[in-house]
Amino acid sequence: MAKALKSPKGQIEGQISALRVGGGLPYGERLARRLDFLLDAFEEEGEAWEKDSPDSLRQMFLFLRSVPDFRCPTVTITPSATFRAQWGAGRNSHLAIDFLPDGQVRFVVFSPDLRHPERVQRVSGIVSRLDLMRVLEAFDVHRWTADART
Amino acid sequence: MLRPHETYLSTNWLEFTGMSSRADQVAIIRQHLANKGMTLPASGGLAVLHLQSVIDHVRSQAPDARTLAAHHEPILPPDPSHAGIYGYTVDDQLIADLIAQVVQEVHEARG
Repeated sequence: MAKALKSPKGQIEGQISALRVGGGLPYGERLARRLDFLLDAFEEEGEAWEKDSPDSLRQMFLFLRSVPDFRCPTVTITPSATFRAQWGAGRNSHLAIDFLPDGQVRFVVFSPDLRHPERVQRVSGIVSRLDLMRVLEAFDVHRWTADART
Repeated sequence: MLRPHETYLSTNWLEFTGMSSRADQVAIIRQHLANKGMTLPASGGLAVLHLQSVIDHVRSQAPDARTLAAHHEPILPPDPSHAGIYGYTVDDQLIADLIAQVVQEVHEARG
């Protein structure tokens, strides 16, 4: 009921508040501060939230909680008002995930080819959020997404 | 990144401004953007791309050897330097990320 009554912005702010008070992410406060900043910048630019934007954020949080060894991503808001998380370590180690409201993710991965280090593998696609890590296994993304403490 | 309905990446042609310094070029572009009602956020940035570098990088690195193209798309009178980079859509996230790799400079949106 509460979701139905709240605006997209209100729902997003509610999720960010929940992240602060026990969102289950070790970098929750840092991520919440970044999201606060993005919300302000997005609206200052005259962009409008979509009704599905809160679901995109919810999908991102669900994914981040499923990969507790990942470090805090760089988060942006896309022109479609969805949320995008990105990790990188140089031009050839790159993972970007755009969280669609329906539970799918649009991803891009650039990864050094372990057998041929002079080559770079570049793959993109759309898969279910639940299947993403299985798809990414071949690219050993933990080499640049993992928190150094883990 | 593109919006779902967009057929090209909206950009501005720095050299079209006729200014010789980058600072002056960017100042004119800011004016063109403001003239068409775009609100530039205080925390925002304007990225500078070298067109041939973008085309060469994407063609050499994209799995499908994608060839992008650019066209002058003046919006008269408010934004005469407006231009577009064609050849990809909102679904081509890999192409968008390759373009982002060759950003040469980022200037403050409001200067």
